Amino acid sequence: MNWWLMALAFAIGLVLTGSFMVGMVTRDEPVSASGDAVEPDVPEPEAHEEAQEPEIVEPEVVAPHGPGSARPSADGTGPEGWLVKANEESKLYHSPESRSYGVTRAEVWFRDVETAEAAGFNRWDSGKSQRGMRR
Amino acid sequence: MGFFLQWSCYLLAFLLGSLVAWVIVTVTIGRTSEEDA
Repeated sequence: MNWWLMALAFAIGLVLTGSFMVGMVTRDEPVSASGDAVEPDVPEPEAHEEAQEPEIVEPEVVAPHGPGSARPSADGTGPEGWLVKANEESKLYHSPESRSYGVTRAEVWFRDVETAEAAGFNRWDSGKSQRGMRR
Repeated sequence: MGFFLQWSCYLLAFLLGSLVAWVIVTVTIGRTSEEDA
């Protein structure tokens, strides 16, 4: 038995599984109740100066794929009147005509089909799913 | 030692490494993201 090969197999299993799992976990974006995506890496502004005026933080309008796109709110619904659901991994969108529309959980909402296509998303039945492809 | 037995040992080592990575990631990142969220 070659112990070096054993160690190599162990290391490869460790690295592959580790990187795959970390990749999956960091993709998850917590969504606050207001529907804005929470930015976990933004450091808190430190109050070094006492005379600093309190900053009024405007709620940021998150348009992850340009104007006409929005993150779902905490209950998964989109902005009023927006009907197009999209999946970021497969880059497919579903309009209400899609048979899977009801069961699709939107990662992004689009105002309309044109906006979704402008953002590089493809129709659900176009066969152009990019799921599993390297981003 | 037979050829297959030897290869199953390497496969087992791979799976063991995989398991270790899974445990590490689940314990560390799982907890962190729960707190952050």
